[in-house]
Amino acid sequence: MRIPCPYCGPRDSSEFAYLGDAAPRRPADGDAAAMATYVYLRDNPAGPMEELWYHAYGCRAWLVVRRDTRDHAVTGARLAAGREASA
Amino acid sequence: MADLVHRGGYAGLGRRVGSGDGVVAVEQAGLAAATVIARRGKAEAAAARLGGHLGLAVADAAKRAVSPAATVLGTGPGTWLVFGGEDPGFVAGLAAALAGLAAVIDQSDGQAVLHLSGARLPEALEKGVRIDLDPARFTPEDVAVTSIAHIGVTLWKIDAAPTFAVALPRSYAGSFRHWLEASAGPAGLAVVSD
Amino acid sequence: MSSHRLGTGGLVDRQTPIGFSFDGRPLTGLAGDTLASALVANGIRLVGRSFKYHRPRGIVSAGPEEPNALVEKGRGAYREPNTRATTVELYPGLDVASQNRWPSLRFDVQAIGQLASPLLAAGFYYKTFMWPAALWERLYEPAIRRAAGLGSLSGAPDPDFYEKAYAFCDLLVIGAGPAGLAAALTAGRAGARVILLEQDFALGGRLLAERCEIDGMPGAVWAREVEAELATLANVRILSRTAAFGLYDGEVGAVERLTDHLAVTPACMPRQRLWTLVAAQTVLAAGAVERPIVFGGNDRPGIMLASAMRSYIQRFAALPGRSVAVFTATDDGWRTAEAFARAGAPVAAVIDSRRDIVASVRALAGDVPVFLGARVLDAIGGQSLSAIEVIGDHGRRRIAVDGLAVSGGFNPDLAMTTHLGHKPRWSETSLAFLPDALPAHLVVAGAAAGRFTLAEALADGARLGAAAAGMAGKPAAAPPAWRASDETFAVGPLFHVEGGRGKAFVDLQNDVTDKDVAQSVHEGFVSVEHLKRYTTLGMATDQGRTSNVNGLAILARLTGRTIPETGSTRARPPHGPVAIGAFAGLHTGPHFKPTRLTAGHGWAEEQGAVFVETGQWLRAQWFPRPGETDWLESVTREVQAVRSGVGICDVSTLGKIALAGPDVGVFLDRVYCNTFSTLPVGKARYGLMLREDGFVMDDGTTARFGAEDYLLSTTTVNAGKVMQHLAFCHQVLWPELDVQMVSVTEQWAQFAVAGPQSRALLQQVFGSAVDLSDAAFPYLACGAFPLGPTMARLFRISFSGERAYEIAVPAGYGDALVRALMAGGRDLGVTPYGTEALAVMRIEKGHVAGAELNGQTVARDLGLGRMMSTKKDYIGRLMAERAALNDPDRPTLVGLKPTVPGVRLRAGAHFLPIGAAASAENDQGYMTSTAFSPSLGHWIGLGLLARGPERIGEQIRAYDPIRGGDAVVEVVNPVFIDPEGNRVHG
Repeated sequence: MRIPCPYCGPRDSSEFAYLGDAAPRRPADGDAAAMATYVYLRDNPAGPMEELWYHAYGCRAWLVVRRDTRDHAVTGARLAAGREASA
Repeated sequence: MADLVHRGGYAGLGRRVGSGDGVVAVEQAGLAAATVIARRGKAEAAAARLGGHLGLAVADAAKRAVSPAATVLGTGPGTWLVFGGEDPGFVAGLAAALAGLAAVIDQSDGQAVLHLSGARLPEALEKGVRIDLDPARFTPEDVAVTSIAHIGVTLWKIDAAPTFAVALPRSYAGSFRHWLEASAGPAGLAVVSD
Repeated sequence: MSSHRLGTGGLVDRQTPIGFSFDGRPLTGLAGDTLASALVANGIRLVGRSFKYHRPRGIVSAGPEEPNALVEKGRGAYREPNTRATTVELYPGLDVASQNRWPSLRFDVQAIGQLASPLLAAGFYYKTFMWPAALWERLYEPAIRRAAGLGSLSGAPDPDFYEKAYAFCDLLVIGAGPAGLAAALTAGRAGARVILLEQDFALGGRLLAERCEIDGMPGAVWAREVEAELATLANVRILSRTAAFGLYDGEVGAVERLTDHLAVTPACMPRQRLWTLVAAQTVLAAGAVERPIVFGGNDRPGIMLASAMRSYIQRFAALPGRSVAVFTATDDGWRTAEAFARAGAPVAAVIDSRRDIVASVRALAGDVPVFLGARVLDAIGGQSLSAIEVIGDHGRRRIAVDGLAVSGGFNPDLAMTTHLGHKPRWSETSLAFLPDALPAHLVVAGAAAGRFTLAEALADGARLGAAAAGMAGKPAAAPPAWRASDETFAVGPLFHVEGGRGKAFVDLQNDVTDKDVAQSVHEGFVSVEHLKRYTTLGMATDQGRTSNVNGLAILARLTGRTIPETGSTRARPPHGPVAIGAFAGLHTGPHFKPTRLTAGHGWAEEQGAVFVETGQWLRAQWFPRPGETDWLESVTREVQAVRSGVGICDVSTLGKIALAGPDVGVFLDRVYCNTFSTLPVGKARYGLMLREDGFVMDDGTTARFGAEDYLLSTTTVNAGKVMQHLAFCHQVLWPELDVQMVSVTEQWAQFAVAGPQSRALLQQVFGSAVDLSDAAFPYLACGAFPLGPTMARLFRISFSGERAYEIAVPAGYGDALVRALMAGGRDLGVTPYGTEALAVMRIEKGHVAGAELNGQTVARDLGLGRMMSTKKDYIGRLMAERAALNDPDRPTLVGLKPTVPGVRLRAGAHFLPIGAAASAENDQGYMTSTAFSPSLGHWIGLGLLARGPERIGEQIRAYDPIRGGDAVVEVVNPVFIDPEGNRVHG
């Protein structure tokens, strides 16, 4: 599977480390229940999903990758840094 | 205690002069090097200042800018790996020039660098490099940070012969030699190092 | 000349005979033969015994779909079982043996098993060997293991090596038959980057086996001309002997055989090369595989696929039989009758299940007897076919034959299109599965797409090759319109002839009969995927290429469904067998993962160090001296030397991360549980990093060299993980912080210098210009000092509990530094020490390390709860406050010592109250680290014990049933020596 790193270009997925769903946001307000949800709970959609991948063997950028979990089609990738601005 | 002798990353692995008919690898030891990382929001300014200090046009991209005195390689967003010559003040000079715009961290000893050339080099590189090195797609202006045989490397082209340069963390030098000898050895490999 | 070799014709070289042997019998073939064709030319029909019933079997096909002719090839460590004779290129000295028979192929004792065949029907192993249970391990399992499997391995390590390679192209063409050659040539002429794969050793596919013409020249000649032109194009790469085995997400896997056809392997040549091919477009031109028909006795040696018989006659000039009949439901089968006629051995009969035959096809049989609307009911013979029973309008007739060419239809070889889950569709006109939905960027040409004529193959190839070139920005000139000789294609439905007396086989390789399919249905396994698993139909080396469709046709009829309703099993890579070694490439043995060496490694090797793997690194474990007999002796000596004098230890492998920027202090405060923004410049501090779930992730010492200049250290094995975590925190969680970070693990070589004489040694090395007095450089100080031609960094930190420092120099000086330290410390008795001595000393001092930071402990468990700041937010803070993680009953760090001196303690022993039963309910914790303490003269341990700190002085039981340990230990303070910590201050 190839991931289109915005800095390096399309690269084999073995260059990356996969973290998981990009949607959850770390709660900043000290709510323990919200933090537990952030740490432990994830949706598991069958379909397009945004995921966090780390280009460990490349530019070391964290990426938000849009990928369909059913057929692995990768439709886009952008730098995670500043994702709030582009979200 | 005045004489501590400096050794390159491939030292001690044995100078091997094989036929060299296919591939020649020459270590570039003793180069000054630094990682330059732009401050937040200052990538463009850092690129301009870096370029100005070295007399080069530096882009915030996976591109190479080169002069006789320095090679600037884009290795990540707002990040460059910069090689100088053997000038001991090179890194300090970079740090001073980029003060306030970027962090400059000495990597002169962290990377071991080889120059690779030879008629059979493209065939040997195919056995470990998972990116397209076709001359139309990877030029002397390009830089790739990738992996070869599970070793993280920085790869760039010196000229269209093709001559490639590969930098990798010095602790992996022995493992990289093993890959190089297995992949280029059958074609006739010569490795030149201290 | 061999008994069944034709005097003229074929693509074999009669001037180059090749000697080989089969089951020890010397035979002769010709250059251009496969092992199978050479056996056919020598009149050898019996090539193996079937898997379950040990029935005599012969060659069935002429390609990789071969289910029967599985041989053992090679000798000694090179022996490889289950090699299909049809894919083995003949070379001088080739030595093969048949399989699955004892004592010989002709007389196989295990054939007696056929008498038990009612007991060996499908799924028998689910119903037998269950009772009595006691016999399972003693009798049933060993017996089944001996009988199971096909072929035997050499048991020796693979003597070959393999490599991997990667290539990119605009167009990947899989298959170099007419469609593939047309596509490659069209795109290649347009300048597109083309890679052409062909699993055979010669290009041409069916053109090599058929009498056909393209542009007025024989097909094989056309193929040679195309190959020659392709070879002149620098943008085209031809990989022959290369089989595509899998379609993956965005890439194709293929394996290239480099030495399997050579008598002697050249030195330095890998046996096989595993290709990962990334193509903008892929054309699958893999052709179609003929399918047989299921009828009684259809596995007798001498029964072959009709197209295979033609291949043996026309490509290999080998005659599969002298009096062969043709049993067909296709027009194509009649061409075999014509081939035999031309070879001077006209067929005994043509039996076609259809009644309406086109005149041009009918004429192919000449004037041999023809039976239309007829079927073969039974094939008779033992080790060789001798007769067939034909039924039809004429009634029943027995015909004496020595071979039978069978043609039930053609299955497009479309497995690659299904590897990503796309399903084919059934065509009632072609009576085959055709590609339907396709993966992105993959198209199918020619017979693989169900377009079976030569003209269609050439047209498809040209059209798709041009399209691919256009998509690559290299538009093709108008593709040539190659003229193909005329042919027709028609097929009638005939999968199964019922009512025969003999066993009717659906899957020859797995010995699955039509009755097994019926039994599967009878027992409720009616899904096609269940049929496969229950009967094993479609498994093993041929993956059902000649059995799947017949099997599911029978299943469909028995369950009252149509074939489309029944569906087909999902094919997965690999499409054919691939040696595991090819997937490993160079990464075997010591090269499984890279090995990282420190700057001091060469020096340590000279000292005779014993090394241990720590992650990817090699670290010196201890340095044996002459006369020392075991590791404990060496390690004890090293510890004593450090505690009484001075020792040096290479600690370069620990991760080092340089951090900079205006917000670096804030950033560190958020990733560590303790505070670093307050660390003064020129000082170091021990830090604890938690995971977001509150558990301890890593520890290390972080030093501050400037206002915005920190150096963070990690444990060796967690360096990469911590770097990834910090990058996540910086880029994903807090991109608003202005902080920069990069690994400098490799930039610095670092050595611990520890012991009461450590300062003396360093003062010697640095010289008098550097003030290392305790006033100038107290415990936890850090700084940079000139050292010869370079700048060194010095840290006053201690893992051993002694006065200690760590000195770092740029790695290029690491080798020189360690030698200088050894030379400078000679008079002080300086001693190198390794990771074992390092561990003994930190255990004596109660320092936690990897065994305690095991991912299941929180700071409070380790006695480090007071490090957790209450004044700031940090990763893991909230979750670490959970009640369950603050329960005093949790196992908490204590020291342990045996009550009987001399008793050895072992990590992993579990703690039980004395007198309590050894059960999980009574388990109160476990021993994490142990060492023999030279300082105390007995074994000591660290462990995690429920309510541990409250139980100092109590005696408990350390229970280790796996290694036979059971000792009474006393709970003590984990700091065994110098609990006030005076020695670090000097």
